[in-house]
Amino acid sequence: MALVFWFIIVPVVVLGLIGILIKVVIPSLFRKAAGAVKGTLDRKFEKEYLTDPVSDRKAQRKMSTTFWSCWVMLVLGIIMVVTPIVKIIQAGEMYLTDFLPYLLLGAFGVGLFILGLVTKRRSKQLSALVAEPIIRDVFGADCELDAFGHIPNECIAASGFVDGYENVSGSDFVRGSYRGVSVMFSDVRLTKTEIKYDHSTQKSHEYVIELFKGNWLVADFDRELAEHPLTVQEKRSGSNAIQMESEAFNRQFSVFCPDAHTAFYILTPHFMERLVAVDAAADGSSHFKFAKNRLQIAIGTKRDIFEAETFKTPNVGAMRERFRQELGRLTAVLDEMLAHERLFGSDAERQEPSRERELSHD
Amino acid sequence: MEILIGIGALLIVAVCVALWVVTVKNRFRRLIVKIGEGESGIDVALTKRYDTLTKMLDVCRQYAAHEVETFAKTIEMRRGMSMPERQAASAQMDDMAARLNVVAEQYPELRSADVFRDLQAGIRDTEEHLQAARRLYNANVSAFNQYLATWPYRVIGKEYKPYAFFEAEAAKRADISMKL
Repeated sequence: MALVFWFIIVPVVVLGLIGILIKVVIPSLFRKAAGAVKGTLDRKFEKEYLTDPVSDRKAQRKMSTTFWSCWVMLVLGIIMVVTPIVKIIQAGEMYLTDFLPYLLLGAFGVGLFILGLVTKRRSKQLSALVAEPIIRDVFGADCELDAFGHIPNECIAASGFVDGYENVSGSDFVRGSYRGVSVMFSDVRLTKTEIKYDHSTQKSHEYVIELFKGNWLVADFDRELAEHPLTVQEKRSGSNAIQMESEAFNRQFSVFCPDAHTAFYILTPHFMERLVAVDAAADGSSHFKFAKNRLQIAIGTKRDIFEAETFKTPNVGAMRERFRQELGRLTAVLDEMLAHERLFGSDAERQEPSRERELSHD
Repeated sequence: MEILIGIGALLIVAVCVALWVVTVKNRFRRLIVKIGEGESGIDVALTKRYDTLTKMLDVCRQYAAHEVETFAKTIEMRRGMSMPERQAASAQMDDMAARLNVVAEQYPELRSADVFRDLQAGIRDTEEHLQAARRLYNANVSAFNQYLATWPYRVIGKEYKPYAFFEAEAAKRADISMKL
């Protein structure tokens, strides 16, 4: 009986407790600690660098420090991992006492590399925080921000912009309102994995193919925008695309809608010009969908909107200017829709005090 | 043997030409159907605008019977109108809408009446729909006319005639000056 207790029950209980500790308690404590550190750092940064009168200068200093320390750590980490590997390969055989320093150096290198990656992630958070005043200015002071969130999958799937994607990732999620219109915005990356068989090595390799990377905006209006779903997207060969009267527009976009009248009703000549300008300025493929009261815009810029350039020292002023411009391009489309809405007789326009004016035809 | 090959080659060429002719004819027919749809869209928009204007006229009559009496029943709407007739009807409606607005300016109680304001919003909406229908029709007519004017399609489509565009009223095309 005692044997059963000491050799079966006690080991099972101890192993179970260790398992719970490793799988549940430690990760939970780690998450809490990480959350607390992250929250404290964010609050500290926000308080120290973004709310006082010299915020730009401090933010600039912090971003530059983060940028350089991140790259120093990543490069040093790689050198410290690669050097021992090369030395060990060159030496062929090695005593344990000779091997240990290399092992320690390698381990330290791995640690430094991971720290570099963490700092890079931190740099992204800093970019989001630098962009925050602009985001709050555009999408309302009480808008919801999540540096690592993205537009819900169901919105992306419902748009039908990109076919055959398997994975959705993204960052810089914003939920707020723009001139009374509910808006969601984020960077989105859509990928799929393909397995290819290499006959020469007789091995299969997995490839991640990027189908879309750019900015995504979803706006919910308080009225129906389109009687039938209307999609405007980068030029695609297809006989069922509606030909608009603008050659420039037709060269850049394909229009799909079950009812051509709806397409012509929504895409006024001025609106078409605006979409062509947005597409040209974005330097990537643009997609627009009008369905019921929802407008979806996806601009494939191939980069994140609120991210500092990878190999360039961040410049807070220039970054803010760029954020403002890129957001402005997206909100310009909403402005056009809202102007269209006014055209259809909002009370505001009708109650405007009429000035004495005289229209005459020459 | 060589004669057979020659005949075979000729047959293949003849079949290809016949298929091409059928394709071009079908393209013409599809465009004509689309133009017909465009015309019908214009008719729907014009009718809706006419109905809204008629209601507006009735409302105006309640406030200013004397003023509106003179320009009642000036618009003629009927089925199967030609494009110039549609343009004329549209121009008459533009004129009536402008005149009703002038009357409304003279009667503040009419201008502020909910029903009148709703009808004004309705007029704007129907005008937008008419614009969309006009642009759709003109885009289809443009595609058809371009096709018809291009060689070798014009050889196949010699039985067809170019369609007339639905053009904006001459006054609207003119330069506009605004005095504030």
